[in-house]
Amino acid sequence: MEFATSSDPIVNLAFWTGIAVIFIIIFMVLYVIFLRYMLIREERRRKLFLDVWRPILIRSLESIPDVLPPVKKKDWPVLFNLWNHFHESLRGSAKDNLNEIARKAGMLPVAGSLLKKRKVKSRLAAITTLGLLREKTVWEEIKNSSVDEHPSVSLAAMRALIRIDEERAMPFIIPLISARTDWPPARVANILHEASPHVICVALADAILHSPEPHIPLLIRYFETIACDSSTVVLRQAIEKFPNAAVISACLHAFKSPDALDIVRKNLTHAAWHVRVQAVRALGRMGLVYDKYILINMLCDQQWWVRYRAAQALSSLPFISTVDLEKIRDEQADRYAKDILIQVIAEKKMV
Amino acid sequence: MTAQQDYAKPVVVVVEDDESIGFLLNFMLSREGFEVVMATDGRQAKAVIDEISPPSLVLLDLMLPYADGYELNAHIRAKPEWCDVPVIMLTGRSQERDIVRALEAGVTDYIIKPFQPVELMARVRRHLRVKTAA
Repeated sequence: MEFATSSDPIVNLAFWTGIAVIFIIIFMVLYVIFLRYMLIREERRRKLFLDVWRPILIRSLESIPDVLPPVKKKDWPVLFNLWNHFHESLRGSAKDNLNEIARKAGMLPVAGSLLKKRKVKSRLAAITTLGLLREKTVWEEIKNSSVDEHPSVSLAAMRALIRIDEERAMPFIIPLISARTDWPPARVANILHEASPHVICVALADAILHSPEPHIPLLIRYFETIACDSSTVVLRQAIEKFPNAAVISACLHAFKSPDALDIVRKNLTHAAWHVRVQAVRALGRMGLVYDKYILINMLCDQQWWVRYRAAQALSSLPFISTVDLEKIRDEQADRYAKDILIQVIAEKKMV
Repeated sequence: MTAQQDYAKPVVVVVEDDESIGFLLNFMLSREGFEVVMATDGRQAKAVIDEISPPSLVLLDLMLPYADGYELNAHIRAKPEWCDVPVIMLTGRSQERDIVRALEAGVTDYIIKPFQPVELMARVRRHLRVKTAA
């Protein structure tokens, strides 16, 4: 150890750096062991809590117990998650019993206080629970959460508002769904499906016809996922009011009824190629025997995507078989039309 | 080893990876007087299918680790002694194409989550009655 007392400053520095590194490593190892210990302890506590409360919640589906065990402060998040999970997995009268046990266990005031916390996880659990309980007293607090910058919190709040009072929620939610570009459209559509079809249809139809033009295509995409009786009428009105390519394209994508065939055929010659793509696809979905010839003509379009979708639309017509397609291919004088049909026939044979 | 030898009660095989839902199904079926054999993933389910003799009914989740519900259903239908066992698929996938695919693959019934416990039990009893009558 003579080098430890060496007068050479470089040797001294290396020695003390080595000592410091050893201490840091020992500290980190101990810290990792401590974290592992805490995790195992937490997991054990969680399991013990679930072993008590899972049977209680399941038995409550048949009858509510008279006495419930007390819940420690640390265990509330576990109970919220378990209760929410059961509530979202079940339907019917089972939910009424779960609501009753939640009120009896005192989840309501705890959820109210969790709503004010800064931790996203706590707020999410509280918003979900209050929504499932259809708790009207916290309407304003949840409404405030629906404009939260965190997308998970705001989406959970939007779902909760729909669950609490869908008719009251619509005038507030519809402008939000077109403004919040950070919300994943699939999740929004999923949440909108929780509302009654007639309520959401009326609200979306009104928004499509009265919102600013840039929001219309997105609103039409949501409208398309809802089964509305008046959808063709609303989409026709939207095209009349906003005759731009993005809106027409979205409407053509949304048309499901043959009532719209005239408007579909009219847009086969639109200047924007993406509109022509949607028009040929719509013709593939609802076209009649005569439309076969229109689609054959579209095989010669200057845009590859239009030719490709026209060939696919042709092959999807219920009265066109692979043999018919091969016959159409052989009759084509245009090289591009022939090529695209060769590709689509090959794809069809692969499936 | 055969299910009939091991269990005095009718046997229901439950394949469910969600611990809480598995617990709920086990509770409901046990109360109805069934012997429940649980599997929490596709690999475990395949081992159960290969080991025990045909149960009265199989309750099958669709999305499972290692092997999904479609693969397990095909495994069940490929075994001659299991091919008549009613299989009820219990899943969160509610799209038309999923339901059609499952029914065409030989699944007896398809129940979408969220489900009604009372309705599920009624369907289980109905399929068992049909099987007994046949």
